[in-house]
Amino acid sequence: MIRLAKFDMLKIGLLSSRNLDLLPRYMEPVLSEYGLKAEFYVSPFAQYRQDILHNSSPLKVFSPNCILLFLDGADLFGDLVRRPLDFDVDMRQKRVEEELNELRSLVERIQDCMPAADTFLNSIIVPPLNAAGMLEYNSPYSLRDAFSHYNEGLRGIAQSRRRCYIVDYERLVSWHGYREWYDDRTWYIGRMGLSRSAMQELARKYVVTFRATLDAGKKCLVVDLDDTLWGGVVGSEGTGGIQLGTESIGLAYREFQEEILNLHKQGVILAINSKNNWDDAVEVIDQHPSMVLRREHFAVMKINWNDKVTNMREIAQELNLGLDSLVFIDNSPFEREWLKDQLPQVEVVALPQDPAMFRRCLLNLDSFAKLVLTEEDRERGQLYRQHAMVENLRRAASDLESFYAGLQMKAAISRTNPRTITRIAQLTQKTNQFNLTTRRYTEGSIEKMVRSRAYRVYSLSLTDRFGDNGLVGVAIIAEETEAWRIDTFLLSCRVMGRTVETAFLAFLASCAREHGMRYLVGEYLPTKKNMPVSNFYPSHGFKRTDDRESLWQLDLSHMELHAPPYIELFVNDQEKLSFDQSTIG
Amino acid sequence: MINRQLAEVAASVFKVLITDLTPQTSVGSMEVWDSLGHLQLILEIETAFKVRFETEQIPKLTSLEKIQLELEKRGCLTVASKAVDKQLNRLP
Repeated sequence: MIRLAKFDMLKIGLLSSRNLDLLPRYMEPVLSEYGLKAEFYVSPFAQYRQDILHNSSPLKVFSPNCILLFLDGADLFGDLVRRPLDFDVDMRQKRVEEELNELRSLVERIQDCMPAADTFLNSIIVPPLNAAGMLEYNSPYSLRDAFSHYNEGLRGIAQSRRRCYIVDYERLVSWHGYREWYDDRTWYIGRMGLSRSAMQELARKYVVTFRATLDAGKKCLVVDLDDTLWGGVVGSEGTGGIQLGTESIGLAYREFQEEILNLHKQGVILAINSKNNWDDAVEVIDQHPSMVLRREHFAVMKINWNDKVTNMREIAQELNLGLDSLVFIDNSPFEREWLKDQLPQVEVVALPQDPAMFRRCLLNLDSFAKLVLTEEDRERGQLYRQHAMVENLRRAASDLESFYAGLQMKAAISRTNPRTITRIAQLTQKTNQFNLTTRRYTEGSIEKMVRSRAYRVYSLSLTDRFGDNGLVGVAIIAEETEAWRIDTFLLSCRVMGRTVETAFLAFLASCAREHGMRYLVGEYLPTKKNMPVSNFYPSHGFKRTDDRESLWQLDLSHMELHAPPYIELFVNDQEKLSFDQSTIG
Repeated sequence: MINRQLAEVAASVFKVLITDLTPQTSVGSMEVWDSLGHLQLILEIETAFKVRFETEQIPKLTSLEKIQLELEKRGCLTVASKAVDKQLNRLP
């Protein structure tokens, strides 16, 4: 993934089998829409092979961080397209293998010489008007088999490599319509061949794809209820009177909900922002047989008579998201305008008038587009629901102690095993706030430390009454003569503010003492993001050491660490279960 | 006088001010109006005026004057757009 700050510079190398010199001009306005800036290098017409293969070619001198290699099917397979009756199935197969092999070597060369660049290839589309005509499928002659075979080959190229992505050009052209997409006049005049609207759409698609690699998409979809998730106003028509079902317009609403659920399964958080009586709306959500979306899918439900702007702010706050991560869908143009005006950072979808068009509208949104689906994405809905429930508990609790106790936390601490190495490495790379030393480790490094006698790698997993939070804490100990030095101590922000860190630290202290250590030494290296934990060690009774500013130590012969009584602790395998909370005074 | 809408399209394509343009502005008279710029201008004009030029015509529409003539011939410069012209010409 290209890691760029929002306004950093993209250096885009554009190479093509045809003349796409105008494309940057259509990309620029879209780039600035997304707050991106780019510098372009455009390879001369059909010079892409030379630009990629030759040493110190202009492309390499330009040093792009982003390479668009646009190869049109009609250019790659021009012979086949123009004379389909001259190619039998074996010859077609051979041609496809040739093209795929060449493409593979080009991509390999790119990744060898320009390893920092993300490469974007494209699928190809069969020209619908071609000399094979009706013979396609009905005779041994075909264009489609070759084109499909090539596209499938692309799948393998992208998925066997990092930083190589396929832009589904075939799908894009299909949607817009081939006949409007290609403009033969500009092919004959200037070897372009794409129409103006085609270049605009292709430009947009490329920019949206970059945005997906930056992982800068929107995170939460906020929906209205009446005339959005169902037809009619439940407050006046009652649960039985709304349109939601398997017939007619009710089916349109149901299918719209299905698409929203699909988004949710990709990791999009859902929230409701509706002017309604709570009971009326919730009756539909909980009970209506044709509802696809249920209470469990929504992380926040603002169903009240407050104004939607206030609700929106609260939604963002409760989910700990910026307003610019939200997308709002509401059938009322009035509500939409008001919200756009008051909260310009929120993306407001121009939902069409006709509910039959809702599904298409949602599917056409670029806001949530993803190139990679992680485990975390798939679990996110669940995690946010849990988080929301935790927050509710926190607000409802009379004091902190009862909040903590109410969470019914169970923490499992263990030495690392091969299955958890990936997650541990990931946490060292991603965790910024509750991270005392912010040392980033690869899987390889973690594995080395696990195998080494000089280190101990501990992980902490937490479940609470709302569910399993997974592996959320990491502590890496470097064994020294009299002391255990805490090289790394971090906690996922998911479980901050619950004193889990105290339980973890208390365990480490007890363990160190068990192993005959005199001191437990903690290190704090300040960064812009970990200010919240600057006081972590002193607040647990650690004292400054004499030698280095960043080190704190706990004298284990004099000090005990109090583990929180409301966290049930389970310590796994190699450690003796000598760590007993009740003996800590 | 260049039709206002035509001038706006050309100014936007070439990233110049409307006042930098004259009816005689043509291919080569500005660095940005090269063969690439020409194609871009034609495509933008087609979109703005809802017209379509033939392949052989495109390389011949080499100046704003010639383009305007062609648009007039096709009736694209509507009464409305001419009225806007008139109105704008009265402004200081």
